[in-house]
Amino acid sequence: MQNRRKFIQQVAAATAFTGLGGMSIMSCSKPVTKRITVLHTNDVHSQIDPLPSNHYKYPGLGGFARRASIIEKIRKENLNTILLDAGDIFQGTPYFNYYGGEIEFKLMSKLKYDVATLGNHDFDNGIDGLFGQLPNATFDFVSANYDFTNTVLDNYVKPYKILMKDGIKIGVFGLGIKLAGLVNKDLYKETKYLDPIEIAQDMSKELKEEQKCDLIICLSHIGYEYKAEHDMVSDVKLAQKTKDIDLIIGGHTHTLLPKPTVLDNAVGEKVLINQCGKSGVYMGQVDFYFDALGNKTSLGRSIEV
Amino acid sequence: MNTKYFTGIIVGVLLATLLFSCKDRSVSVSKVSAKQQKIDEALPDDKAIDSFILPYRKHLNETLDSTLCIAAENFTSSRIGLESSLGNLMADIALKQAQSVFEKRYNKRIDFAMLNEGGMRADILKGGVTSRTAYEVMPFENELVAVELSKEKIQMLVQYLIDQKRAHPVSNMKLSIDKSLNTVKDLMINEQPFQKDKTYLVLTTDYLQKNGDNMIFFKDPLALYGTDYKLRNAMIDYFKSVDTLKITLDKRIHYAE
Repeated sequence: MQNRRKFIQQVAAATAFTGLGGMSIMSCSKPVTKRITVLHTNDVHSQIDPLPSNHYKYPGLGGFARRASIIEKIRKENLNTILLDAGDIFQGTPYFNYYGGEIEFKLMSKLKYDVATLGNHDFDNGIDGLFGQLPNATFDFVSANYDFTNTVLDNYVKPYKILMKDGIKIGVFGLGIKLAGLVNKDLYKETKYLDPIEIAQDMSKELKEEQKCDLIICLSHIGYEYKAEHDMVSDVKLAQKTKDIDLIIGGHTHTLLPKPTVLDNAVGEKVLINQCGKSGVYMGQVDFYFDALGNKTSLGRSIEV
Repeated sequence: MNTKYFTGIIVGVLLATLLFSCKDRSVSVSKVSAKQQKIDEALPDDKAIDSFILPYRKHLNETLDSTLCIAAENFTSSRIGLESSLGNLMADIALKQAQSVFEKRYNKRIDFAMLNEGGMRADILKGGVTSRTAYEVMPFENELVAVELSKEKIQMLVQYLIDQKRAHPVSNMKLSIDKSLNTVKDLMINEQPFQKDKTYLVLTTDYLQKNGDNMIFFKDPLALYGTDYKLRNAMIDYFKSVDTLKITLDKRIHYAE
């Protein structure tokens, strides 16, 4: 309780200084906590309206109009909010079959999504079908392990995107699942799939050491965990074999985690994995509190999830 | 020099210095908290978003809900012996619709069709049949494909049907099973007795071809032919082409008396 009170005071102080033309001079000398709110969805699968009330698993849940109102509410509480999606935006309702993804991208733009990665179903109308819908998206797509060099998506999908919120530098990179066997080659064409773990190691190095990001998020569509197929790469393996990633936002396996999984990464630091089922039935929210004292080793980080 | 202007510069330099020194200080995460936000009816609809969706929803519902033909009875996947009214309809539609596409593209004829019982996700109820009906029965994007199978693979396929004891939909084949021996009593394909010296072209979906429902006999066929024709679209096209859907129960798979 003590800590919470102290935290509220700090936030109040930070807010007051932000009022001074955005230049919080005192943040150098006094401890000021900043908060970044990360909101995320995955595998929305063209679920524009709520699921039917007789749905076998998630009756009546989801829907863009409701999601929009809760996002708006959270943004009012914290201006420093980012909104991400971990892929499989397309396919699952006739909205996709009839409009080819137009309504999905337009709605995500209206909800002010910042960044999304690509899932296998986002290739269901072919790489050209996806390319054709890009003008409807005001947000960015990231994928670090799909090499689009010889495709129409070359230069349209970047490995990562850097977002700045309240002086906090956030690096978001994307990872996709192996397309061969899941998607017809005629659809993904010359897209090359690269090893997610190797690429994630390169990305975290680039974002941490070169770009000096304060927060690194991986948008992953490789799947949470494959218990039967031991060889398959997954978010759990990714978390354990990499470093400097703060949060892995997962997709593909439609896993509804009751709360984020906390694992030790390759150097024994904590990394979070979160995934929110499918169809937009839940939206994940992860709040990162930053200490401006730069005192990481002595303070550590408390994870209350 | 104007004093006010000079003071402005001093303050500017001071601010720049402070900001610069701030930039050098790294920030780090001290605390993380999380929650999963349930998206349910307790949350109000954002009116602007809802009115954006409305015309799409309206158009879609009108399109999906316009009557294409009439179902004379309920078609369900409930087993009647080793067949079902819906299964027979689905397999017959798949074969009829794919056959013309296939002949045009490959100049060959498909011998028979086989789908899976679990692939039918809803019933077709008596009354108006719409595109939405097709989406409900077949929500998946499965494409129709034809595989050329050896006699050994056909025998595996038939044994699968016998062992499973489920009403997997078939069309243009008749299988009579010796129940006590669990073997084939009689097998007719394309109205001809099964011939061991020829290969057969079998229509199924890409999902089953890739080992869905453990139909291993579809794997590594002698040849694989795509149609770029989704099973659901085949259903919609068929619904548009007829006035009435009528039940055919002809004991295409049955136990010999």
